[in-house]
Amino acid sequence: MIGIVIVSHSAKLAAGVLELARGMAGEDVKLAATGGLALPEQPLGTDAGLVMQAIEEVYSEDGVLVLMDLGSAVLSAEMALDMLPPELRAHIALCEAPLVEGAVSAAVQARLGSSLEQVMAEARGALGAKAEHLGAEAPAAETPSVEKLLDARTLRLTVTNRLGLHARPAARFVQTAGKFPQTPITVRNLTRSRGPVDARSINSVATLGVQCGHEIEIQAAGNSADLALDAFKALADENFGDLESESPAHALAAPSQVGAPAGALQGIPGSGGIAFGPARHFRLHKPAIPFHAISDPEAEWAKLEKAIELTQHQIQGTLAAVERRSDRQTAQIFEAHLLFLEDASLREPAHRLIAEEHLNAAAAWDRAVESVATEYQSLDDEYLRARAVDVLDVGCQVVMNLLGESRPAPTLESPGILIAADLTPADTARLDASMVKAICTAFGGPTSHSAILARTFGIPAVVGIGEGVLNLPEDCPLIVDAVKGWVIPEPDEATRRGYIEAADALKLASDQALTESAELAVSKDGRRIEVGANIGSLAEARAAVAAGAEGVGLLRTEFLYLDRDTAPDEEEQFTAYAGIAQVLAGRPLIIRTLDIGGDKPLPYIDQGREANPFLGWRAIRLCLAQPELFKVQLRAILRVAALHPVRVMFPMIATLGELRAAKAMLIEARGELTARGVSVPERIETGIMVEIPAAAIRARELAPEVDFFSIGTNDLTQYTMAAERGNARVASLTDAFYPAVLELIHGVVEAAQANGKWVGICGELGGEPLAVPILLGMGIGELSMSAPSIPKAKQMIRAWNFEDAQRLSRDVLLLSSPEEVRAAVLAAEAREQGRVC
Amino acid sequence: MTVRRDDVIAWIQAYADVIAENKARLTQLDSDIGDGDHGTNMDRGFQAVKAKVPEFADKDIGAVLKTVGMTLVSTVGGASGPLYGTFFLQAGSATAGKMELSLNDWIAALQAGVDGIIMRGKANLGDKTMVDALLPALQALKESASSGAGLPASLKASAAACEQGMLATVPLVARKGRASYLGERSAGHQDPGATSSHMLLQAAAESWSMLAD
Repeated sequence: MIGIVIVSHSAKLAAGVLELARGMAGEDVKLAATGGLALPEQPLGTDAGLVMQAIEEVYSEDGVLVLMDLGSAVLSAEMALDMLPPELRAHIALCEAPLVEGAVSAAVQARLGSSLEQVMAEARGALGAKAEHLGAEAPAAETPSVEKLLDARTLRLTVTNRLGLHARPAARFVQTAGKFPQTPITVRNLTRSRGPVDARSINSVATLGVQCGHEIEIQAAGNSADLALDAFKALADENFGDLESESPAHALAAPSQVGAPAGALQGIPGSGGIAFGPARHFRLHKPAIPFHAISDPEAEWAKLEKAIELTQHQIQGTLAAVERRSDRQTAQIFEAHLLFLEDASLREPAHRLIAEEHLNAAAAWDRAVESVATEYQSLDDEYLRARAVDVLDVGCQVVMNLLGESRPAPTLESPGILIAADLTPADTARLDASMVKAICTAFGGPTSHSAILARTFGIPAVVGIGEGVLNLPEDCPLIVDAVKGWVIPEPDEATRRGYIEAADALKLASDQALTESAELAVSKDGRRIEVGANIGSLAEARAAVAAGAEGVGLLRTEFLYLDRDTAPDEEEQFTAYAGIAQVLAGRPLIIRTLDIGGDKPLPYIDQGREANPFLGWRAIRLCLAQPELFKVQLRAILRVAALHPVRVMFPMIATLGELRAAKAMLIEARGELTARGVSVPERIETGIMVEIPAAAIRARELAPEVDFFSIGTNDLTQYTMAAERGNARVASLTDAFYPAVLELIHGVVEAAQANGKWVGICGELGGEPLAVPILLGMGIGELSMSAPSIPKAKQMIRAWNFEDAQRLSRDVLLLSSPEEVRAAVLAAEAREQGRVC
Repeated sequence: MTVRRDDVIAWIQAYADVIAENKARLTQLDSDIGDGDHGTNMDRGFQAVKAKVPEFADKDIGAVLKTVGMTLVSTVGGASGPLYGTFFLQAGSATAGKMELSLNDWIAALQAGVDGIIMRGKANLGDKTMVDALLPALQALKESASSGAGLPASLKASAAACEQGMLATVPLVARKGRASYLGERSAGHQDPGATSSHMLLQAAAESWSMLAD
């Protein structure tokens, strides 16, 4: 595979570009970034020696493409080339393509195994899609039109994901084509009569300008043509990797003024629902920015850098929290914020103002932020204009950190309807759903990040109402109809009654669904499986209870450890766990001890650099080596266990020795609490995650020493199949339906039952409807999954006879592939339904 | 009459001091038409070079100049890093193994260094770059040598031509480097790279002026 080297004046920019390219193309692209000088103060600049090293890092005879920003980066790249042996030089190309777009396109293309020339051509054409989008004269993009394929198979489909084949879906599209290197594949945009173009070229696909609703035609020729088209069909079925919440099926109704009550303010529905309450204004005041001359620019710059770094930590924390309770796409908002902070367009002007005008850090930063935000606000594109708020938001966070002030959360003292000019994602993420009945914003659109977040949290929102909403008096009674996009101030009695009825009907329907889900899941012949939720925060605990979870099969505790400079102390952990246990109101809670490794570095643990953090010093391995860190957590868990039904679970156990060492640590922690006179439970149910094949294979040896096993099917599958999900080329191997994985699960259950212990599943397999009958048949006692999967899983359990499921689970072990297993489940399911009829 | 290894080291050190004294001025010149980091960058590079002086004790002139070049490459950061780096690396290659330099050796070294800069930066005479100062200096050095003048006199002539070349960059419109982004607005400002180039040859003329002719 071609290696790609990114050279920038700024180490952070280089790293950011690398991150973007990797995000688009996948983890296994060979990328190296270099920027700045290897000096303590990390000045901006380039170092030919470092460029040479970066080239060597990704060098192979397939070739290396070097992309650089400007000035010295070009000279240093040329110099690095001169410094390398001539036989290597022939395989290295310096490319004038735009750094960001070029790197992204090149990475996607390199991932397909293309030649150096192809990768370079893609990088050079990388501005085409953007130029086209902005209506600029496209630079001579090299998007060779292709011959019409002979004897081709054809697939026509309508693209339904919200943003069409834009960057990320386009990358997925091209990667799918790349899985069939021997098959000529072309794609046409029928709606716009563009193409056909080569389906393996990211730029060509992007310049087709495929938008939501467009019809495209994919053609493939050769022996694998049908397989390839099947793969595209599957890709389209999953909306090209765009999550469903973004698809038009879930889009909100267009604003409607028809039948609006008199005096209603018209906005855009941002998040559906109906709410009643008094108006509550939230206005964020940017703190007063001090403005003065400073004498030590270097110290001042260091201060700013520290504040930026702190902000990055905070955002990473929010990111981690949001990632756990919502979807990846929402989390990307915060990833974008991180990129702003690494952006030279903010840092460089601020640096200059400090270094040359001797301006204090807060004023310098504020000026840089305002100027970038103004640039965004002046753009024509609505989506880009909305990013101004994002820039101001991160900018404000940095200023707060500089001044040592914390940004007030938009809290309401009594329930009401939150009214704001616009809410930043950080504001929205911290909303208290029990107080905020609805959100109304004057600005911002339905694609604004706060609207997306509001949908995630189920808070009704109307956005883009205009400044009028800001003039509503405080406490003014409101009805918010976020289905139609209306805000009705001081509604008359008839309107009010009508809405109360409508709201009741809405509530009734959703209550009914929840009641059903809240009932126990029992098979037709009376076998019960406990269905619980996997959670990682207090908010998720609430969502889990609402969705009908009978308990929590996995509480990930990492949220307490990320985004901070010191480890959480016992008191903080106790409070957090107790809060969650309280929300669960007597339902069992399994707390997993810290599962962290080199992929998520913590400032207070020296984790070192690891080539392969997932096979490295992580989870129980790290905890056993850091007894103080570990025992703080164990003490907090034991204290909560004295008050609530809490179990403890150790992650990543591979050997009996590790299990015993962890249990010994638990005994020590108990002793320390007793010595302090703190009450502890007589015993705490103790289990392990079975996610390493060694533990599954030796389950017989481990079973007598645990109370339960919980199988982490995601990691168990990856470790068993030696394939990671992030790597598209091997991702198909990471299917837990492989009989190898099922057989391990089966063995664990047998070993547990022989010892009178129970087994749960806390991986994604537990939430897969087709897996449920197999797991039921094997004798799994508990399934834990993300809350939204619970209703469907319960339905599946209720639809089966345990005896039939047992037969099915034995049968599937005789099969050889995941496809056969799934087919067998579907066939058995059909028989099962036939029996009912 | 020759320039010995220690004279070369003395010249480098003297130049480092000149850069340190003129850091603000170079940065000011660069702020007018560039990205305002020339003084800071050059000073960082040459302070790093100064810190390496103890390593020079057992090295010949070629090795000293190459070490200077490599140090600049990894510490200057801006375009002057690869440019001055190449200058010293090439000059070092031309003087490899030598413990002292004759006037002709110095001409060869300067020729190699200037060629290196032209090759690296792809600048021509009149582009408002350091080449505008260095090429006339090289020319004057050669003419002075062929007219039979000795080393100190030739160095003086070279530095004077360098100064003329530097001053001549004022009315020019930049066609290379960051200043070229300014187009016509770059006229009326003296090129910072030409200025630091002149300081380099002026430092040579001054620190080697006491050598016996």
